[in-house]
Order: sequence, then structure tokens, then C-alpha cells
Amino acid sequence: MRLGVSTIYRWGRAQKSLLAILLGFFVPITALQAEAISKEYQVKAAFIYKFLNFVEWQSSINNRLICVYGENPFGDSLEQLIQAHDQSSSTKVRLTKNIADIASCNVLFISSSEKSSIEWILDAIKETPVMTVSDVEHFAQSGGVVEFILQEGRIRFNINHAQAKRAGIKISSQLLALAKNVVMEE
Amino acid sequence: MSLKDAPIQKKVTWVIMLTATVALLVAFITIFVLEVREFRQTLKREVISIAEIVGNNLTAALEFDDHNAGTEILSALNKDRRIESAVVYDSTGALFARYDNPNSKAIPLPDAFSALRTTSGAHILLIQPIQLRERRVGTIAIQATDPQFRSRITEYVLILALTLSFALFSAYILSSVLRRFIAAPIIHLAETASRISTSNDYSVRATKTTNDEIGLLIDQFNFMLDRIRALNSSLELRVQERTLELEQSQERARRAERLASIGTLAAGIAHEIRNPLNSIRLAAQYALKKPDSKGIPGNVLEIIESEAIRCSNIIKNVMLFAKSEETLKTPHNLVEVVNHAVDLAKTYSEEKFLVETDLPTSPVQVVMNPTEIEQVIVNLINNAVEASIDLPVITVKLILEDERVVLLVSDKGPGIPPEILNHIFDPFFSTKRKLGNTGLGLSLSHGIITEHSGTMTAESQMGVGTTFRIEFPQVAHG
Repeated sequence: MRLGVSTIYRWGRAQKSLLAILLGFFVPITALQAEAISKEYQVKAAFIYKFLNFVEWQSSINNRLICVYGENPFGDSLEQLIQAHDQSSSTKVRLTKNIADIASCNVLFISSSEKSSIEWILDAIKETPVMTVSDVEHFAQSGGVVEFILQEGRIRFNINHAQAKRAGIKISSQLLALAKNVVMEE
Repeated sequence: MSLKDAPIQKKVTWVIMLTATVALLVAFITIFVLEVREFRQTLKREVISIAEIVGNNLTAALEFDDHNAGTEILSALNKDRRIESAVVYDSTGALFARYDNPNSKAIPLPDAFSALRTTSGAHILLIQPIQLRERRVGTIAIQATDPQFRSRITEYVLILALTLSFALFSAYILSSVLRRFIAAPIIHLAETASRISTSNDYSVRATKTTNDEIGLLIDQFNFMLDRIRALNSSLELRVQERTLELEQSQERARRAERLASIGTLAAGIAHEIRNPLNSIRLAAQYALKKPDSKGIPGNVLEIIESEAIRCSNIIKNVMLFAKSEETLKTPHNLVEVVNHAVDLAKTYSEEKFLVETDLPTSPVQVVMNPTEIEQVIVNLINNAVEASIDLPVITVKLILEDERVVLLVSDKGPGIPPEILNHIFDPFFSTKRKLGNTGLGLSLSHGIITEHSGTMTAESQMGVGTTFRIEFPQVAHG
């Protein structure tokens, strides 16, 4: 999603409030934090948030929980997105390093800092309806659900549909159609 | 020829055909308009569902800003030949993906949402928002047409032409049948009217075949004919009555005229007879004074005789004049009658004279009483002889002028002065009081010719001569 300032003015009321929030968000980051949140992780945060619209969990749940395991590369991006898009929503973000927390997550982003422990984490929640997301290489082939990749300078993703089905997560065919690669069988 | 003056048969045909054409055209235009509207609405409904399906499939591509995926989804539209152009705009209104039918000749949709313009006619433009959980993530615009639209219009025009020509043909056939009901009674009425006006036969009647306005017209027409006929016969009766009255009054006038003539005659007789009677009386007195019959000079007795003859001639002519009853007239050859009269005049005349005749060789038939006409001719010849000096030369000429027979009797005498010419046909008018001249001859002759439906006139030139002209109507030949 392009957020050029010139196009922002064409937006509706909801979008204008988002702009205000984003401005409020960008200013402290650039001013206070030395390592600014990269453009790449802003897009990835948006992707994670948008996945919610194309994924259904077996038991219909209202309160979605997005967890970030390990080092948080998103800053406040996820929270800002949630606030901007639906204020009444009960979607929450949890930053955690505790493995006990992850089973209750709907979406679990495993940071590249936890690369070494990915295998046993995935094994632990293999049968649990958790949509695992990571930008670690070969993540989808290793049993993760969504793997961010970079193609021609754009963020794309691979999906392990077999693992999603095993975990009881229903991924929209539209989302599957956008995936670069889809793992059907193990 | 304008329709106004065209015969009713043609008018009926025209009215029926025109009505059929107008009715068909109105029906066709209505159906056509409804059909086009229905066609557009059907197309629109179908394109709406296509747009919804495609739009739903595009939500993820829009969300994750995947232009390639969007283009790929749109390219599925190539299976529908009706779609000319489809464009997806993102939530900012910028181009996201587009599809253009390579076979379409229509102008493709613009790359910017703000440049979209509505279309008309056979093309429809549909603009549909793409939403994801009540959030607008983009817009899809589809321009479509039905390639069958044009062929369907052609089909419609063809059907219209066929139906119209069939309808006109049927209307023409129908009108010839309807003519029998509408035009035929009127034509019959017109023919009857013209037959009556040419033949003057008011007994002819028009036949009523229908009970509509034309039937009423025919009834009224026949009723008027009855009235005319009744009026005619009563008129004839009145004419007869009037003719009879006229004849009677004419007869009365003639009688009164004759009485008046008799009065004139009586006065004339009294005047004419007094002189010879005086002569007779004087001669007789002279004879009585000479008792010796031998001493009576012969001329005295001659005077008595001639005066007595004169008296008796007067009486005889007066009786002839008074007897004006119609004589029997039959067709006779006038040439023969003229010849006979000339011979008669020569035989009985005391003087010598020459008669030159110029008569046709073929018979000339005239309705007449030959004795009377002979008498007229003899009288005219005698007059001419009397009027002549030296050896009289009389010309008798018979010519045919148009439909009339003209008889001319001319002398070469001194002529009649104009003031006298006007009175020559008056009774007792005479300039020559010779022995036995009564002054009734020309008057009688004139009466006879008039009685024969002819005319008798006289022309005279002093020193040249006098010509009497008698004209008869000629009997039709054959």
C-alpha cells in the first residue's frame, strides 16, 4: 500500500485520522529513535495485519492475538495499524519471549533472532491453530505457514497450505493466489 | 391526382393501408424502445454480477498491492466477448490493473478514475466499488456491449419490413372486400343518379343493400325521386289544362278577330256595292224612260250586266273570305301545282302575256290544299299581268333554301310605292277599280298562305318591278 502524501488527501475520513496517527507515530520515531523502523518492516506489519482478513480459524474468535516472538522489528507499527483501521476491534499485540505464551496466539511472528529455535517451536505448535509467520529463509518448507520473501524489491510471501490445514487454519484462496509458492504436501 | 379527388374505392384502400402502417410503426417503435431498454438492463445486470465476482477476487491483490495478480484475475474476463474494457483503480483512484479486449473497437477506459465518463447507446459503463469488510479498497469499472446488439437491430428492421409489407398486402386485399360494403352502394347510387339525369327517367330507383348511413341516403334519394315524379305528373296535368285554356282563349280571340273582320267586311261591302248598285239603278232608270226596247242603247244593258257581275264577284269573294274553316291539306308536288296554275292563268286571261318558269326537275313536296295554292298563284299572275305595261313578262321561280321552299312571282312593271306596299294585303285595298276587281285577292291569298304555315311578302323597286315571295316549310324527305 502506497502512502504518498499527495494521495493521502484524496482519502476519506477514516484515512485522514490514520494520517494524523501516522504523523504522530512517525515524528517521535524519527526524532527519538536512532534506528528508525525500516520501510520493509512497516510493509510486513501491514501484511500481517491484513492477513487477518483472509484467514479463518476453526473456532470463530472475536479477540485476535498477534504475537511477536523474539526481537520486535515492527516498533509500534502493528498497534498503530489496529488503532487506525478498527478502533472497536479487540485485536491485540503481544510481544513475548516466553514459549508458554505462544499457543494462545492466532498469528505468531517469529523474529529472525529466534532462527535457531524455530524448528522445535514449530514442532511444538504443529497441531495448534496458530498461523506462524517469519522472514527466515525456507520457513514455509520447514513447517511454517507464511514466509516473507523479497522479490524484485517487493515483499511477497510463500504459504504452506498443508501445514495451515493441519493446524486447522483456513486460508482464503485469494491469499493463496497471491503467494509466490504454495506448499501443498509435506 | 390528389387524394381529395380520388374515387372512394381508392380512399378506402388508402385509409386502411395508412392505418395499418401507422399502427404497426407505433407498435414496432414501442417494442423496439422497450427491447433496447430491456437489452441494456439485462446486460447491466449481468455485468454487475461479473463486477462483483471479479471485485471480490481482487480484494487480496488490492490489499497486498499485487498488480500482477490483479492483471491476471482481470484477464479471465477475456472469456466474455461482451466486455470491452475493465479497469481496477486502487483506493486512491490510481490505476491498479486493466484489461482491454483486443477485438473491441471501443475507446478503452481511462487510467485515472477521475477521467471516467458515462457512455450511451449500445455501450454500458458500470462502476462498482470493491469492498473488504465494509472498507473500500478499490473500484472496478467495466465497459461492455453486446456484439449481437447490431445484428439484433438489423433483424428487427428486417422483421418490421416483412411484417409491414405483409400487413399492407393484407390491408390491400381487405380493402377490396370492404369496398363492397362501403364504396359499392355509393357507386351504385352515383350511377343511378347519372342514369336518371341522362335519361330523364324518374321511375328508376336505387337499390338499398345496407341499413347504415348510405342506406338512409338511398332511401332519401328514392323518396326525392318519388316526389319529383309526382311533381312532374301534376305539372304535366297543369300544362295540359293551361294549353287547353290557351287554345280556347286563342279560339275566342280568332272568333272576335273574325267578327271584327266581318264588321270591316260589312262596311267594305256596303261601300263597294253602293257604286255598282247606283250604276245599275241609273242604267235601269234610263232603260225605263225608253219604253221601246229597241231604243235602249246596248251599252246601258252592258253596264247593268257588268255591274251586276261585279256585285256578285264581291259577294262570292266575301263569302270565300268569311269561310275560313280549315281545308284538308296533304303533301303534293308544288312543281306540278305551279305548272297547272300557269296553264290556268294563260287559259283564262283576257290579255296576252309571257311566263318564264324556273322550276326544279325533281318533285318538291309541300303539305297543302292544291286548289287553294293554285288560286293564290293564278291571282298573283293576274296581278302581275295587270301591273305590267306593254307585253307583260312574268317570272315564276321555285327554289329551295335550307329547309324551306321559296316561290317567287315577279313582274317588270312600274313597281309599288312604299307607302302603298304596306297596305297591299289589307282587305278591299285596291288601286285599280277595274271591272270585277274586289280588292280582296291579295288579302285572301295572304290568308291562305298563313293557313299553310307559310309566309307571304312583297318587295318592290320603283321602275324595276315587284316580286312576291312565298315560303313554305318543306316536307321532310323520305
